[in-house]
Amino acid sequence: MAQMGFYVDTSKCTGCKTCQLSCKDKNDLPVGMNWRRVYEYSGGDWVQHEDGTFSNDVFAYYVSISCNHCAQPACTKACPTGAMHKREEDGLVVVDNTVCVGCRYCEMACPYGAPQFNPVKKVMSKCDGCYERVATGQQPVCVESCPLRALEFGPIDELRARYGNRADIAPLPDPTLTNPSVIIGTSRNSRLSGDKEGKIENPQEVGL
Amino acid sequence: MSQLSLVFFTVLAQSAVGLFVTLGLVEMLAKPNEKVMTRSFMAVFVLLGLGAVASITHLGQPFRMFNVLLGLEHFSALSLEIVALSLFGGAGVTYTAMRLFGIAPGLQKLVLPVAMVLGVVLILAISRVYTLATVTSWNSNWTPFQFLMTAAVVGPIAAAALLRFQSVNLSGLALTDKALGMAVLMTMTIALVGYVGYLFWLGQLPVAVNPMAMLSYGQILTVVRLVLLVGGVLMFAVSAMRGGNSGYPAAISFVVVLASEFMGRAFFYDIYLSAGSGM
Ligand code: SF4
Ligand code: SF4
Repeated sequence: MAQMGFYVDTSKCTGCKTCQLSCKDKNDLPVGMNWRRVYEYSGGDWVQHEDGTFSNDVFAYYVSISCNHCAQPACTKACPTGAMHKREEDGLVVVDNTVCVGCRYCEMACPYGAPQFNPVKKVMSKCDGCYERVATGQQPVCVESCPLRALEFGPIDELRARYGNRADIAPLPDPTLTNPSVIIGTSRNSRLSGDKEGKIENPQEVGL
Repeated sequence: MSQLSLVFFTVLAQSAVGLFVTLGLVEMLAKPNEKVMTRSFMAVFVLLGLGAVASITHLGQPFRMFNVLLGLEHFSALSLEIVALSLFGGAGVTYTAMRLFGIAPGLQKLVLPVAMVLGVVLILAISRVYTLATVTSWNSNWTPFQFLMTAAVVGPIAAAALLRFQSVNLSGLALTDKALGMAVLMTMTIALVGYVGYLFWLGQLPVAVNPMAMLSYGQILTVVRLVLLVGGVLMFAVSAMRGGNSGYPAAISFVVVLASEFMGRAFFYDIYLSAGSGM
């Protein structure tokens, strides 16, 4: 199987967070742990015109992000045990929690906030691309549950052929850092990575 | 204060290296009393041992700690750090044991510089763990600089404290003590100038939030750290220049400077700014 990845269409996403919740439900995640997170990104201000009138240029959009199963993952490179590993068969990045020592170094290294420490099991946990479902021909639970059909999952080459190769959308980091297997469908309001006009409105929810 | 065990581990391990290298230089240049030096070398491993314990408390699964060697297969910086720690610890303990039991004095002269170099390698290995391309606020040469400076400032003071407390039968102490005083004044100056450079560098990072404004206590922590550093160093250096040889000023200086290093390191960890913090 080829490298698998996600397509996230920010022009369709309404920020309902069904993906986030269906993932939480399937994987029985405790409060505070979200393998899929929906970033709320917004900004803008009042602008005064020559005739003295005002209008605003506010903007807002949502970006749903899990682990991007990067081609050059910062997490596996950092991991001192090899617990965080990239599966040969589908390129999905999975943590073997019988090996993980819970040093949380992967968490420090990943720029997408994907690896999250499980305080009960004392090991790392994260999105595994629902590889067990995928192996039986199903879609990851987030993709299947999205009411707006804003998420897609499949061989990243096929997705790129269809949707191009943009992932440098704020508030995501520069994709050259890890070469993520994700494509962002842009919306009218999309800003580029490194944008300073908008900000993440739900930092606590996404674990910042 | 999110990474206290790492704060303790890194500062203590670096201080142990600083002490070892300083003692090594004293041994090579001043040829002091043997027993006193042997006992002082043993103190290095108390610091290193405390650091190692702190590092293990950082793990979620301490009983699996030997798994961290599996990452050597892909040169994980953290695995290499553990190897460097073992090499320095191993070489240092070997040297100290050789002294203690009077084994092969000729060979000792070889093992000592090797262990000193491995100490510096350990500090660089620790700094590699934190210079991550994905962590904007750590990914610079200011990281190894700060780690080396911890060793350079704490080492001479710790050595002086140990030597002074045993000074009754330490020949040639006065000169060594003055030299250590001079040394720490110099390293402190470098550390201070560098720290200011580091803060400026932090302030100009192309990120959406001002790192200094990220922490409500960032500025006060920095100020207190600098005051403790300068105060601690001066207390020892002044007494050394005046020819004092009481152990207490040196010991208090050691505690104060160590506290300052802990604060500096806590700041370092708290200023963690991932490339993905929405910047
Ligand atoms: S998104 Fe993070 S956790 Fe997932 S593969 Fe990339 S670096 Fe690793
Ligand atoms: S927490 Fe586990 S998976 Fe993450 S780096 Fe440490 S050992 Fe690897």
